[in-house]
Amino acid sequence: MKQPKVKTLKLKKNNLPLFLNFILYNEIDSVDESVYSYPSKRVNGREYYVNNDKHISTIINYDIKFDD
Amino acid sequence: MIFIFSSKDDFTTNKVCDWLRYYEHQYIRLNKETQNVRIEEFDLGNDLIILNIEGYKINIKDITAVWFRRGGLSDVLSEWNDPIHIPKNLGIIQNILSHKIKNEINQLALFIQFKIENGKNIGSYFNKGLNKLKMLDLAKNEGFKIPDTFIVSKLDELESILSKNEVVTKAISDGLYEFTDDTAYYTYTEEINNSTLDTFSDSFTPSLLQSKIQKKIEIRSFYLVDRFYSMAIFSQKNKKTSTDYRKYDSEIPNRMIPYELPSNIEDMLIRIYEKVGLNTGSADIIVDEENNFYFLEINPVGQFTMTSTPCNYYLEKEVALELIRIKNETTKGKDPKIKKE
Repeated sequence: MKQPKVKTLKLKKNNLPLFLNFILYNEIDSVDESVYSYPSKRVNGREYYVNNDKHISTIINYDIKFDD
Repeated sequence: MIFIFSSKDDFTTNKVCDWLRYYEHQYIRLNKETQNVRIEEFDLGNDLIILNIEGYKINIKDITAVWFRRGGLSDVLSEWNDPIHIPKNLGIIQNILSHKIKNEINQLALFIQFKIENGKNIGSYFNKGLNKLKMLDLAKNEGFKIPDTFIVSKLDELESILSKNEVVTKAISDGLYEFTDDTAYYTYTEEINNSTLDTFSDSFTPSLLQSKIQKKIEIRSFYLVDRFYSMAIFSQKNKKTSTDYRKYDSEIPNRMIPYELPSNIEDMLIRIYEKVGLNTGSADIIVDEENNFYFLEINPVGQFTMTSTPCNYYLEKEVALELIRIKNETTKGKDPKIKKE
């Protein structure tokens, strides 16, 4: 499986809490379009992945319905 | 009726809702992003509080089981501030009035939250942000080993500790976990050593340091009412994950297996949960080479899917079944149907 391209923010000398000197970031790798099926309707969902294996967020649009 | 406090993009809530549908139990899910929430009636003498949530009139007496996952009434009722017009000619008191109104609404929201939860809840708004230092102190008093823990704000103090200990730093509250449209930003537990000192000023914002435990395994243990669902994570031998296993190595994934905590460790955790009034949470524990169990923290609203999936625990199903059990116990089978007005 592909390894995520994680980077660390480069900070200048600062007086932040120590843990904030280690901010990691990476681009959202992929967005999957999904269809969620419920008893009353089927709706559109978008699943965001930071990398190939770590799912970070799902946004479901309940306004979009599909005709069966 | 089952009532769930959550946020609209919480994947774990979606899964629990799927199980509730499978078992054919109605529920109301109030996401923190929901805007159309009003108080329809409030008559404390007659014990009558009716909420209107996007057209659904909910008498809170009909709420018979509650899962607090995210958000809460304070988040959704705070929108009331928007239509309130404070006269602009009040000078400095204008801001004071704005704070005062927020406090009024918040106190009202907190009371209704309290009435909704009312002892029939899994998780609680009132325990959503446990103090990490308080939990470490509690764990120590209950007999757990904890890592040596320091708060430092001066570089020379940090250097002095570093000369005697290997240390890690982490947030005192929650780490950073923010997503923009195309980038994810986050912080984990990080090791501090002499090579990382250059960016720190002579004095800095108070920061949490803990001694680095040479771990044999890490344990993530989900607790639900009276049962533990624990997972052992073999993260020590991989450089990427030895300080924080959440830095997944997807090429050589950590081995994660179901694990049974010793009964004395479970007893200590139960006493901690009872002391803070929690009936669910995820505890992070480290076991060192000498089989000492070190308590790290309890997350009351953590993502338990990360424990559920590798161990086949089906925790989302267990949460749904517990909500149904609480509901049946409260209603004795007489649960009113949810109707839109």
